[in-house]
Amino acid sequence: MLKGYLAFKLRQHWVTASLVTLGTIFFAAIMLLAYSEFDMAEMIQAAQGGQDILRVMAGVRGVLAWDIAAFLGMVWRHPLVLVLVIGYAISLGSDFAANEIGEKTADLVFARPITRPRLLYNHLLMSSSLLLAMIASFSLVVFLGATALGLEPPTLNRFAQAGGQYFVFVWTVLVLSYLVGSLTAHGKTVLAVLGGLFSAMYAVELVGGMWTALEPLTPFSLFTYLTPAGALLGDPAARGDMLTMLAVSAVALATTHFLMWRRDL
Amino acid sequence: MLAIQTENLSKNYGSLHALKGLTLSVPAGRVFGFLGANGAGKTTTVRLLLGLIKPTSGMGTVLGMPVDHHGTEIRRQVGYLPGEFALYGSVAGQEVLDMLGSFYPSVPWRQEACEAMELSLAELKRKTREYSTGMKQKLGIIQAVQHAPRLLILDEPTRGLDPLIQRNFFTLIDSLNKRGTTIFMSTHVLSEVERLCHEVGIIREGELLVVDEVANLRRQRYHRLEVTFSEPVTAPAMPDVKCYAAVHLDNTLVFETRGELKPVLDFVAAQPVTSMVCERARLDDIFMRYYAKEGVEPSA
Repeated sequence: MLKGYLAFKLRQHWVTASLVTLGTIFFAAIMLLAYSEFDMAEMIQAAQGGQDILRVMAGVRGVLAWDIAAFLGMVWRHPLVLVLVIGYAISLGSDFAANEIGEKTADLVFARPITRPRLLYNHLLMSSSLLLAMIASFSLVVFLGATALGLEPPTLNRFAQAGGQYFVFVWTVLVLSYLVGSLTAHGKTVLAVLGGLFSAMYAVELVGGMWTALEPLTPFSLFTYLTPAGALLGDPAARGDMLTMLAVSAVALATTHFLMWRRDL
Repeated sequence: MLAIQTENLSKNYGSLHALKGLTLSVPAGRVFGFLGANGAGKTTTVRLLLGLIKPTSGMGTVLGMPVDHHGTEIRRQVGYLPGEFALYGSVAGQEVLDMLGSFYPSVPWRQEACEAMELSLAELKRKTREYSTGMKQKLGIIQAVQHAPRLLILDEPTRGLDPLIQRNFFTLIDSLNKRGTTIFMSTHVLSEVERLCHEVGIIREGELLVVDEVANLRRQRYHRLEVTFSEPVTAPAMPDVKCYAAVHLDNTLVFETRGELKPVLDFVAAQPVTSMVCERARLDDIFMRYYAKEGVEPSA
């Protein structure tokens, strides 16, 4: 482990990481407070008679009852939260090669006595730690908030599973950003490419269930495997979703390793 | 022992041939100047030696180790100042030095380098985004030197340094070289090479034109006479002599010759001369000669 490098990178990123974490926590707190004020009977009625697209947007497609688990799953999958965490994960991943080259710091760092993959894994460790802290804080606040407000949330164990799945999703985004970063020389390019890709994947997942022409594409959308509501309800499929995302990230990481070894800086 | 050795080292970027079959040997313990204009292939050579880019063909060894198999070990023993670099703006200079130094067992020469570059502790504690170009260059030199490298590769080292700090830099380089550090300096500032280097290589458009001792290059048969007359004078055509009017100086002619001086002196002796300066070959004249598109003499 490269302690000096890790400490330096953590110092560079902790302020932004803290702000993004606070942003998501603040959003979750507001949503929980609002939930405690909702008329549940009316909401269940609206959900049962609602449009499929609303369920899809809320991330609760397939969830039969509009209960607290479904609601918390919606908080996790809210587009605002997704934009924040995905955007931050991309910015962390693009910081490694693409940003170092684009900002002209690469010649200083990569001329050190260390292999590129080892530097990559140390950077990944730093980024993963920040994202894990962010997701853990967010999950814990949602759990504690729901408990404190007497909303009778699922067990802490279920929350840990949902949080774990969410972390794997964000980690996959992170690894994909390392992959794109290993092919480009600008952090902004990584943001543009992955921003476009995730927008497209989100759209595919959003309408894929209702528009038959797009339905075959839904397995290719990473959002299809982001099912925190299912994890909160103990749905066994949620674990399979997590494993699928882990497989995607493993392939992406192996490809990044190979590309970083070969590329010109 | 050779500090640097390359054989037919080439690098293409698509259709651009940045380096064409470079074969070069730099003995250990020397100060080697790698001269060339912008885009000549100097930085490409340096980056190939450090393994930052992969060669299209050919091979290189640094401190006796092949670049393609011992990159990590080579970089442990090499200090590198990039020609163009940025510092992480949001952190202090001291933090950048600490991070870059953390890859080595120790940084025994940091203090000495900081003193030579006149970068105080207070300045090191400032965020690097507040640094001037010169301060960034000073920090770049310190990070290259701090871990006591056996080979120091410097790409345009005096860029942005004021004359006083340049003088300190020259002293530092002399001192490091006396301790056994080999210096490989890529530059287009000829005065630096004359001041510091034992040996020089001139590269143009990716091709090495000449490698020789600085003293040998200067010994080449070349004279430059600048003569001022009391009245306007027209010089006759003389074989192997180039004659032209000096810029901004009235009644002054410049004679350049690689041949005999006698015809020039015979002509000048018959004229009303008020002053005359005769110079030996300067490195920039030699450089320009090699660099001229026409009349290149690679084997000279």
